[in-house]
This record gives sequence, structure tokens and C-alpha cells, in this order.
Amino acid sequence: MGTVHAKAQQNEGFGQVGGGLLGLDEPLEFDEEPISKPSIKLNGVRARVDRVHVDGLNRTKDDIIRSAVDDLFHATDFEDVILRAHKVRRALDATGCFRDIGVYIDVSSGPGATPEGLEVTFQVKELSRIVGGINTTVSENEGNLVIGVKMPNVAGRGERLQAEYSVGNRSTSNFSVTAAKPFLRSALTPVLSASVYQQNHEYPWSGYRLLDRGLLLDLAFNTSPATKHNLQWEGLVRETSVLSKNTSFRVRESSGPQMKSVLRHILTIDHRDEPVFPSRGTWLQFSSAVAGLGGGVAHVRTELQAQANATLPQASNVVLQGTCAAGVLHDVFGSELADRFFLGGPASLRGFAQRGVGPRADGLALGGTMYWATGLHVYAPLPFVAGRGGLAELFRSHVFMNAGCLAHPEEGESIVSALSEACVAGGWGWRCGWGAWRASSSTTACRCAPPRGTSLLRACS
Amino acid sequence: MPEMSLKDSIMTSMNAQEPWPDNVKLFQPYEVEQILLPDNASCLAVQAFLKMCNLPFEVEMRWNAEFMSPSGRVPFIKCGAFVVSELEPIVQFAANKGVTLCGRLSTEEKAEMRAYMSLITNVLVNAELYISWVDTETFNAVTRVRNASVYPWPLGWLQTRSKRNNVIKRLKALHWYNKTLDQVLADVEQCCNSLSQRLGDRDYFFGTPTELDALVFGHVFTIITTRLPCRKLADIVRRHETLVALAKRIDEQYFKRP
Repeated sequence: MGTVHAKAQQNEGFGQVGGGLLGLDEPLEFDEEPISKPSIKLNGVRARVDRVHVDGLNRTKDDIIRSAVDDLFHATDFEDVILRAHKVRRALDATGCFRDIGVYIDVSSGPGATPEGLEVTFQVKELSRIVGGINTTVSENEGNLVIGVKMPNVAGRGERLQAEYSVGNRSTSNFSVTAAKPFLRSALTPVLSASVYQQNHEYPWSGYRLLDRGLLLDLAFNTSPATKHNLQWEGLVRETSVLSKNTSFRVRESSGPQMKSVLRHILTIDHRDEPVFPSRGTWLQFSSAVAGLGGGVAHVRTELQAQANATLPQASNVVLQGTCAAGVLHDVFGSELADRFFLGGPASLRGFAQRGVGPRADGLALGGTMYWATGLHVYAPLPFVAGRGGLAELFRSHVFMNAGCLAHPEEGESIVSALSEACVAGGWGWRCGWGAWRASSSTTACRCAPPRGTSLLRACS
Repeated sequence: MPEMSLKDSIMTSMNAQEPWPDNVKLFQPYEVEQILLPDNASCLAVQAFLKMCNLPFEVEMRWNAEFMSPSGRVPFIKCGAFVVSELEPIVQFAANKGVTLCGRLSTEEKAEMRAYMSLITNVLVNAELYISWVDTETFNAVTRVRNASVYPWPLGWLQTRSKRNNVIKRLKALHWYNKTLDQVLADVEQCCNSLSQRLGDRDYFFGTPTELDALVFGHVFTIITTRLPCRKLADIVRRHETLVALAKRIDEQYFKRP
């Protein structure tokens, strides 16, 4: 491949320009990275891309590849070539068609080669036609065996077909079939997906069980690298049933099948460096939903969640995190328990039992139509094993202080007074997370709640 | 018949000492636009029973009464923290509170009463289910429309379909599904014959009102007053004048407002 002389020189001068250097997933920051042999200025080497090869294409269609690599031809110097090659590599990666992408840059030869010409070769490995997997998950109150089948890049333009079936230890079965189609060539790179699903949920804290069967259409697009929008329409039939004969009548009243049609917009802005245990950056999610275009449930539901992270200047591995969340549900007709907000539990208001805050009947959480929650968290590596890596990296010690209130103001009741009965909890514990998974255990927590939130006023150890 | 679990029986008997509260509510589907023939019969029967016992209650109509009911069937009563559905458990529940209609009956008479009650559940209820859900004409003209009336489209269609499948499954298990309409009507005829023979020219089956009278009233009154495309069922029942007279007597005595 190409002239030996040129390749050897480049390899010496610029390091490995292959899978190694460009195999990174993070954006390359060239100004920070000390590139070896500073005597050669990459941007001083004039270059032009003559040809781009993509090796290993099998069923992926040419047009999406062509539009992805097109950018390379506009490069004017060698640094530009490398940067653009990396961008192209990420674009190819984002199509979700390839398992492995290697980049090789060589001087061009043969007929039509220009003096400063380069040839860029992408060596790709396509994902196999069908990928299957079996795994187990443990969620809030159930263990599941999940069997999944995925068919990536079905028609050659990044289309994806995915089916998942899961059986839980409480003999519930869930399934979902999703078809997604990315529009790789248009601006904002929208992804259209449709899924059909059946989901069982049990909420022992509220005494009911849900069986959702529905259709979800989703259009996701990015207006900036950190800003993601989801426009969704969801139509579902929801069957609510009570868990036992002695379930509170307030919960029993909401049983029965209901149909719901929801239009939803979710805006996510993520400037964090990591989704799990971030060390800096902010995150914000704003979702608004309107239900009632058909179906028997009509309401407007808005929710805002935000998070800010900062590393303490004195200790670089101690992260200070501030969170806040708020939500309002305006019921027009037919909104039942399942539509309401619930608060409490390690994921929302730590130090309280799952759904432990807000209106209750016979010990069961009834949910509310508005809530707010704030929290201040300090995360630090585990003591004694810090810096050793390995399993300990998945754990953090956690000191927290959070407060929140969930209310269901009756007509005529003042919203301000309903929302001022805050529940506060503080304590310390540990938190564990990897991938998208998190678990927490709090060793000590002190909570206090206004008299209305019965049975919460106690300190526990 | 839903079996009572041990826990329920213990709880019911523990509750026995407490008197019948004033705020008892009977939940049933909407009478005008929703309720179906078999459900209406059992709701009327329970109402008649409670009125015979002179137990105060309030009727509350809910679109989802069937789903709120612990057994999945209407009607059910809410008595304090207790939720009890269908006639026999309700009779049992009232008996635990010391209210019973068959206290002075001998053991043989009680057994006889049980037998007639199960004859009704085995014949009349199945016949009503057959007419409502299997007879195409009635299903299309009445059952489908009424059952779907409380749901938005297409949920109504889905619900009607799944409920019909359940009813058909039940009827198949009881070997009723493969009967022709004439066979069903012949069964009804036979059931009515034995009921009217037992009744003879008495006012009530056992002299004074019992839950059997309430059950017969519920079914006979519903069948003769409900307008259906298939008139044959009502015609057969109407031919048994003593039963019709019993129904009218109970209606006048317990349901007519002074």
C-alpha cells in the first residue's frame, strides 16, 4: 500500500496514525496533547486527499458512506486530514453499522496522484447480521431474564431492528420490538424509531400493578452535540389492577383499563463528562407531555430535572453535586394513580423509603400532582482503597442532604402551603454504578418530615 | 364460585362482632348504558337480598366496577375496610354479622336452597351469557355496543373482544358453547319448570323471603324487563306465571318507593 518512504517518515514523525491514536472515542484535543517531535508542525505540511478507500463494506450502502467521508476531501494540510479523518471515523461509528474501524493514511500513488496527495483507508468490520444476547437484570423489585435479538444495519443504511423479551421472577413478561431508522445524511441527524411493547410493573409501595401495551413513535435529533431532543407520540392501553384483597380502596378505585395518547417533548442538555459519577459539568432534562388526543386520559405534565457537578479545588477526586427537580401535573380528566408523581427512594429523595414522601392511604403511596426536590451530594472515592483502580472504582462514598415535597392540593387548598411541607433527609452511605446502572445503600440517614407525612419522623441507623 | 381463602375467612369472622355500618356502598356498572344482562341479574339479586335483610346500602355506579371487584365480577359491596363481591360471599358476610334470612330453615331445606341456587347459576347464568355473547344477533345489537360504551375507540373494541373470548372459554369448559339456541332454551325451560314446581302457589320458596328468592327475582326480573333482539328467552320465562308473580311481588315490596 503506497510508497514505503513516505509511510515510514510519517510513522516516525507523527506517531501511529491508525486504530491506536484515532481509536479513541473522546474528541481529540490536539492543542493539549503533546505530540511527539514538536519540530514538525502538522499544520505546515500541505496535503490533499486524493482518494478514500473504505475496506470491508458488505451490505452497507455506498451513499451513506460517501456522504460521511466527503468531508475529508476539503482538507488542506496534514493536521486537517487527521482531524477530519477522526471526524469521519466518529460519523461512521455513529451509524451503528460497524464493529471496528481503523484508519490508515498513506501518500497516494498511481495515475492521477498529486504531489501532496494522500490516500485515506478506512478498514471497517461490519456488525454481523444478527446479534443475540441473554442477560439478567435486577430492577427496583424484580429480577428479570432478558432475551434480546438485534439486527443492526438491516437494509444497509443504519436501520436497526431490535426485539427483547424478558421474564421476571414474579411471572411477569415484558417484550418490546423496536425498529429505528437514522437519517444520516440530513442535518441534525434525526433518528426515527417505532416500538411496540408490553410492560408489567408492580408497585408494592402503592399497591397496584400496571400492564402497559402500547406503541411509541420517537423522533430524536441533536441541535448541538450536547443538546438532544426527543419528540414522541405514545399510544397505550394501561391495565391497572390492585395487588391484594386488602389494598386501600383509594387505590382500588383506579383499577381498570384505560387508553392514553400522549405527545411528549424531551429536551436533554448534557455537559457532563460521564453519565455515571460525573466529575464536572451540568445536565438538564425538561420534559413536557400532553395527553388527551384520543383516549380516556387528558392532562398536561411537565417535569424538570437538573444536576450540576464540580470538583473541589482542594481535593481533585471529591465531587460536589447539586440536584434539583420539579414537576407539575394538571389533570383535565381521567388521570389516575399511574400518571401522578411519586417521590422518595434512593433515586429521587435519598434517605426516604421508595415512594415514601407525599399523600398516603392505609400505608400506600397515592402520589401527587406537584413536587419539588433538591439535594446536595458529596462523592468521594472509597477510603483506604482509593487510587488502586479495579472494582473500587465502581464505588463512591456519598454524603447527602436532600429535601423535597410531594403534594396533591385539593381544590381550594393553597398550592404554596401544600408545597411548603418539606421532607428533609441527610446522611451518608455508598453508591455503586457502572454502565447505566446504579445502586445505593445508605448506612445512616436522618429524616424529618412534617406531621402530615406520617411515620417518617424518625432517625434511623 | 370464587373460593374464600383462609385469610379472608379469618378476617371476615374477626369482623363479625361489628354491626352493619351505615355507609355501605354497592358498586355496579352504569345501569342505563353499560350493564349487561347477566351482570344486571346478579346486581339486582344482591340488591334484593340486602333489602330483604333490611340492611342499608347505597348504590354507586362506576364504569370500572368489574375491575374494582376483587373477584372480577359485579356487584361488590364496600363495608368499612372490607370489599366483598357476588351474592354468596355477601350472604356469608351478612351472616357473620348476625343477619341471615334462612335462620329458621332446617338443614335439609338449606341444602335444598343451595341446590336451587346452584341450578340457577348453572343454567340461567350460562343461558344469559350465551344469549349475550354467543348469539350473534344479540351480541352485535346489544352486548357489543353496551360493553364498549364506556371506553374510547379502539379500547372498547379490544375490551369487548377479550371479554367475549373469556366468556366463550368459560362456556366451552362447561360444554355450553356448542349448544344451539334451541338447546339452551330447552335447558332454561327445564330450569324454570323445576323452580315453579318447587315454588307451587306459595308466596316465597320457603314461606319467607330467602336469598333464593332474591336470586330468582334478580334473574327473572332482568330477563323479562330487558329488551333484546332475541325474545325467546323472555317468552319462556314469562310462561311461568308463578315465577313472574314472585318477581313482581318482590319488586313491589322492596323496590317500589312509597
